[in-house]
Amino acid sequence: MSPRLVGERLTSRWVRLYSTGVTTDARAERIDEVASDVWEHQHDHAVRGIGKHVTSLQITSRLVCGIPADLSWRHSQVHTNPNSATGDSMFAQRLWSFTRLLIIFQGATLIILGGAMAIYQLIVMGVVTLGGLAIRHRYSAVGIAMICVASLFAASLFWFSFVLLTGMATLILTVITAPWDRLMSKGWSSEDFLERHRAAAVSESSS
Amino acid sequence: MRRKTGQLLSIEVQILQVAAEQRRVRDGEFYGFELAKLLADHDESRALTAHGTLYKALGRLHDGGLLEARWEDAETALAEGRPRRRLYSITGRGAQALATAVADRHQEQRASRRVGLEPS
Repeated sequence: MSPRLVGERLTSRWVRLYSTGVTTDARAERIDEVASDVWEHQHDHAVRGIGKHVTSLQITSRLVCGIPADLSWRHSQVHTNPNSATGDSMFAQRLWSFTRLLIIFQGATLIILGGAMAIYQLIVMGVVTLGGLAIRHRYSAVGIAMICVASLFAASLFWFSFVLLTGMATLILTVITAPWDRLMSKGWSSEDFLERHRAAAVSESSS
Repeated sequence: MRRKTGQLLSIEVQILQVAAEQRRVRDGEFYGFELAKLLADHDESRALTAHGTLYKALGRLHDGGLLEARWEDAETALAEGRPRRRLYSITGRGAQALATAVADRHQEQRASRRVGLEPS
């Protein structure tokens, strides 16, 4: 995949993900508007002779920095949709799949980079990331804490922008997908995030 | 922090300022990426505004009637070989809201300066 396509594809997937369950018109408008923005961004950089890597990085950076605003927009939009609970359930499943992929990507990147550059801290943090994901189902609090620590570490690698952005995105999404309302209760697991949304969908469809 | 009803956020004021400027210098219409560039030029140290932040703010201003929005003709976009742009322009209500926001800001600045000058 060309570097130019990485930022574009990531943005396209992210827009489709967070607009799941939003009214059809609002979703289509948001997808078209962001697609136009990304195209103009690439075109503008191509005309000015700016490298593809820089363009891809800038687009990814604009995506990551906008995640909280995107989710807040989504939150306000789903309340206008009569099928919001069903949409929310679907969104929760897709968001968790996306987050899990991002966590795996972060872990693998840190291990590969650490191996290639002989920096053992990177390898350790890569293992911590993947270990956190592996135990998240059984020991959620510890698993989430491990992923967050490793993501914070990745987000502090200012000399490697792509890892920094991945770390920021992983941190934000790990925190968002954590079932905070059940943090203190016994038997807390990653399934709860999905179950909570499924339960909301079921209760709405039965009422 | 929750904002007061009717109060504009800093990014919204900046967008309205750019929109008002666009109306002065040309036809007044602008699209998302162009706006991101204009905002970054306005404040040289700033990077391009994130997609989420930009389009959420534009949506709020549009819903509030402070900006008008329309999709450009598909034929125009096709002829230029690019996706359609969503074009925005400031409304009379938007210009009024901008004037009020700027006046409020000046008043706040004057008040804080006065407080700073008062002997302790």
